[in-house]
Amino acid sequence: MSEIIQIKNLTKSYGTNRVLNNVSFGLEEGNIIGLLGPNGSGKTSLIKILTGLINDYKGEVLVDGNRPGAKSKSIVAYLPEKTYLANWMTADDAIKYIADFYDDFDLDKAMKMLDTFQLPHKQKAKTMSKGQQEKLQLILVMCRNAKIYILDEPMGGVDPAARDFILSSIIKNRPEGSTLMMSTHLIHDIEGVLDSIIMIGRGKLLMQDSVANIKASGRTVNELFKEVFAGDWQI
Amino acid sequence: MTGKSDKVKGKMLKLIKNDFLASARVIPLFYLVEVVTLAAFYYGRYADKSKVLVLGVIFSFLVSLLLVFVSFFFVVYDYQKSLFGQQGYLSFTLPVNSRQLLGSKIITYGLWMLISFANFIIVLDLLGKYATSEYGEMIDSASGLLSMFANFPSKAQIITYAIYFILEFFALVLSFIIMIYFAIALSHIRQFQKLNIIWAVLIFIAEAIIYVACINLIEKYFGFYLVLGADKSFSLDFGDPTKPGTPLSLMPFTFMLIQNIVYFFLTAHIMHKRVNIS
Repeated sequence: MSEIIQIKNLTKSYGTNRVLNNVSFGLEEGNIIGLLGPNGSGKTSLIKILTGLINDYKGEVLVDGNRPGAKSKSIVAYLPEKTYLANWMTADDAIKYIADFYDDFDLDKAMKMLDTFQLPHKQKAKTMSKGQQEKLQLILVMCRNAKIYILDEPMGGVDPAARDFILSSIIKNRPEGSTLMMSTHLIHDIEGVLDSIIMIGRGKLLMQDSVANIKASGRTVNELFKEVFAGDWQI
Repeated sequence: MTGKSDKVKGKMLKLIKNDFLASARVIPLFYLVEVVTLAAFYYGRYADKSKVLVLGVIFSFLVSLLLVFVSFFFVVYDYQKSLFGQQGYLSFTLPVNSRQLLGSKIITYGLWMLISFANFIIVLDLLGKYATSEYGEMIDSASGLLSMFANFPSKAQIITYAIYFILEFFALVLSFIIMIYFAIALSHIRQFQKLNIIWAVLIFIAEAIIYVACINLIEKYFGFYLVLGADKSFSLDFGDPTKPGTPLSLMPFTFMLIQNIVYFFLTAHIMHKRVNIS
């Protein structure tokens, strides 16, 4: 399988604070990858670079052979940690907005998912609960037939019952052959669906391995995470 | 090549369409209010209801003036909110580049600004004509402004002058918007991010000072005139406009155009390379 994301010697600093330090790795097409690391490890900066939100970095980043930009953005479906919907948008408006810009957006599927998620079509996003807003944003992302899905903490801030629902919606709606990268702290919840993991700590790549290899060593991803980030990492 | 440029144009049109849709939820409401105040003005005038008439005159004037400020508010508010607030996560991950994002905002809000100016002039003209007919005094109105062309020897001169005046006004409005956008974009780079509102104001003041200084210097040292002849002829003159005819100084306009292009690309570059959506 070819590598759909290639990163070589990626370094990103904010002033004197280096958040990514000479990171290099590649991601194979079609896999579900967990991007794991404690708070402040550089996960969100890495995601922002991959999605074209941050462009001043050193090193080489290729997304399906292109530097992050208008072309790569057309094949990447991104779910940020934050709510990005405009105050004036209703659920219908948000769907139409996304459908306008992305040729791969499935409008009918989105309308059906709104009903499945029991979200009101005409209610403004700003008056929705946080959970409703997150579900709406998930619909906007998962109704695209994208090559790459990048989800930043997709289950952060929702209750355990909703987590299962969200995760199953992600897996069910992901097109076959697409690549899915998820950053999360809730490793236990997602490790059953992961093909491989990347662990980042203090801006450095600490580990990249397949879940099958980790399991073969007699550990779960959750146990491995605790092992890697124990002790000094918590200080 | 054509396919690619069609796609770029298509995305740009979609951006403009969506920016208009976003702004069209609020701004037209003020125009509706103005329609009501103007209706009150006409009703008061023709039904001879003096109180309604006075209220109609006062509120038509105030609302048309308010519209200029509302349009200006949206120039700043939408740019700030949709690109540098949390909505930036949506805007900056659309499959477009920063020049398209910026261009769409400038076109959309530039048009709203121009519409509000045109509206203000029209309302002022209506009220001015009414005051003139009612009280016999010449109130400065758009029609009154036309008297400035009385000394022009030919219709061709008037048309050329009017076109130039309109173009210069467009360029001035664009300069104003682009300078604001540059100040806001620069205030969102990491070094200025903490006190970005204060920085945006300071940067804008600095830009305005530089602009005025440059215009003054240019007019003083680099004369560049379009001299309108008595007939349909016109000529360019570099230096003092000593030729017979009406001289139009082209330097401020040329400077504004160059400045707008420079600010546009600088702002787009900052948006692309230096801004970090927090």
